[in-house]
Amino acid sequence: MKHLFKEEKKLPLTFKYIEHFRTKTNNKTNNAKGSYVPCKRYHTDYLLRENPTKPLTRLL
Amino acid sequence: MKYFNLFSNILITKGARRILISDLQRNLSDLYTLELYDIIEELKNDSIEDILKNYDTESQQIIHEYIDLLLEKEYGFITNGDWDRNFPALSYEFQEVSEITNIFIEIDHISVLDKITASIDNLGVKHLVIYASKELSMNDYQDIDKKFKDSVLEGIEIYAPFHQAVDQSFFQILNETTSRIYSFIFYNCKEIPFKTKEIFGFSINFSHENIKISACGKVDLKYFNTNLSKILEAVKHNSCLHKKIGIDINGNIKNCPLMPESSGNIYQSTLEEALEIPGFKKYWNLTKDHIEVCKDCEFRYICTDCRAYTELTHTNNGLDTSKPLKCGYNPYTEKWEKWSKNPLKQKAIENYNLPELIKS
Amino acid sequence: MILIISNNGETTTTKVIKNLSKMGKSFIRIHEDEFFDIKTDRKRIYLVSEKNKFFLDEITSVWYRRGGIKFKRLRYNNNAINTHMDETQHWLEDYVIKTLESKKTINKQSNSHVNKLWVLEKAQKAGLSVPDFFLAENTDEVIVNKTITKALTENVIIDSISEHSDAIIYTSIIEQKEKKEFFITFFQEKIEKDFEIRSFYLDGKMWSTAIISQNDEQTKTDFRKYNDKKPNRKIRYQLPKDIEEKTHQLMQSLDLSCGSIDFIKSGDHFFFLEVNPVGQFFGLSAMCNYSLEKEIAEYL
Repeated sequence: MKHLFKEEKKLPLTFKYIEHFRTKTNNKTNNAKGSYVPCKRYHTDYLLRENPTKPLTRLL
Repeated sequence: MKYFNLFSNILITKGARRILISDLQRNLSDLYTLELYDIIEELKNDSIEDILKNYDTESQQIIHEYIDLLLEKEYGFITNGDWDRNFPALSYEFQEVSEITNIFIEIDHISVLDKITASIDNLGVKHLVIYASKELSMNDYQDIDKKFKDSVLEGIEIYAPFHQAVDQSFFQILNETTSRIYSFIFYNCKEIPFKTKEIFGFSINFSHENIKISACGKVDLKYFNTNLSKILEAVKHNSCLHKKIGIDINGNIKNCPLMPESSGNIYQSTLEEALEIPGFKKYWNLTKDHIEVCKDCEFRYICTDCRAYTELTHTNNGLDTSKPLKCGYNPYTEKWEKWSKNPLKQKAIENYNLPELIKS
Repeated sequence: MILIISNNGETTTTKVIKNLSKMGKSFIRIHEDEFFDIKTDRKRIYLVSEKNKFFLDEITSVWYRRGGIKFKRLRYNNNAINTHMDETQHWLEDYVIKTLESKKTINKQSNSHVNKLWVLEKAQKAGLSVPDFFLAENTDEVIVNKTITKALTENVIIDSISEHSDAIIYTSIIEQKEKKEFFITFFQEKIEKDFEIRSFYLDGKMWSTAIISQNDEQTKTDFRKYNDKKPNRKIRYQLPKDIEEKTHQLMQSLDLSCGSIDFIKSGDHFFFLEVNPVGQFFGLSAMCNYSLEKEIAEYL
């Protein structure tokens, strides 16, 4: 509700329909390891580490 | 008049006795009857009312139930007057930028990896699977990771013999000091060293067996998976060999390290050169639709093929088109059996001289 | 030489770069934490940062994905001089940006953010159907349950609105009349939709995805009952030719070579909702097997 925000001046009606959610915990510290690695060829420090979409080997 | 529209990201794979419906968006596959296949085909050609006219009351009830099921699973939707023709079919082109997506290499010393680092970057290789025949120390693992520290590799999986230094702190340190290794598999492990709730940036597996590299090629439910990328590749290409390079223990460059033909050696030439050798890619477009038995199997697009070990029963244009040796599923009976015990496979098994089966 | 301006963590940028790398096209990728000096060498202007250096005249195309080119601004002690030098540097930077934007571009730093109201007017002028909209400070003209409201801003997420929470302003249906007046708010006719369509537009071509949620279906059989809320179905869609042509006209009138566009389909009508020049589309692209990263790489 608009009155929850202690504002003197008027807010648009959109604030009545706002949805709150708890701030996500910092994702970067959740994983023991980041999901990005540096890559020179692609000029980025943020190459996404994606797992293979199929089993590359089937030894087990 | 009502019409049923099947969503374009639903794939129906018809097997000898049943069908598999794969939801390519939700990454799920389910088994259904051939009867449902026939109904879906009819729904592509006629309105629901016209189809129902051809059946008696009892059958009509069954058809209603099937349509219910299709709607409940969200495999399609219903329109009035005509099908909605604004939904084009999904393109089944496998659009993969990398020239080679994965390399499977057998090593006895990690220095051999230096021979392929430049090629990995040139070819855009995404995953490297290493089978080490000798134990790897913590430093070895760290060195492997370091060799690829700015490369295009997205992940490294390593099979190696278990040894005593492999304990919880081993992994805690590796978790901090490596970044690309996503899977550790230890074989020849008599007793699993620890259980941990700790979350690492990689998975760890231990096996009691003394797994040789020749153990590869297994076809099993646990290796089945459904996702768009995998299925697109399987529909038009060989689900294992496409865009793969294998390097055996002697440095021979092959499509798979367990296949006989070689296109050069990493001590004399590069991977790029090997790819140019005629015949290297000959299996790349051999799909399950052209492989014996598999072509009648409902699992053929969610499975991963193997050309290194087959039943050696059929060839076509110089390609081995036999069913994989290590597959115990029979689509004509819907039964899974232990492939190694199958009398019809014994000749092929002997031919490959598989050490893992000698004891049985 | 292709110039790419992007944020650091953008995976779509990397995917396009993978394509460029395979095509053998050279590129320079600018990061969000790079600051450039403007320098000259034998009558040619070049930009240099810790990571990159390039001459303006060697750039053949520019992809503005996110972020922006940042310049190092020198500050001077004397206030008057500082004001003068501020303006001098401003014009140099402006000249650099304009020069880059005059080349072949996918989006531009200068118009990567659009005015939603203005776009709706332009869309109407281009002949697209737009749900009736108006601005108001009270609900007198609002028809309850048949009118929606949404934010005028591009970003609908309000981070840390309070100590432990963030907030999102979703498009919402007005459920009741308000007694009090409020700040000017955007209202729009609620359209009974069959489903939504998101299209990616690039230089006259469009690739569309229908986003169908279970609750939208109006033509399902009568005895349908759903227990679970299932995620939306996202599949390839082909918009009618005239809609695509009008969208093309709209994008041209907005001087946008690229963007993602949202529509609603209702019966035989297609309603234009909004355009986002640098929106995320690539997840939908993967699901429909449109290789948009390759299209972008080919265009550059």
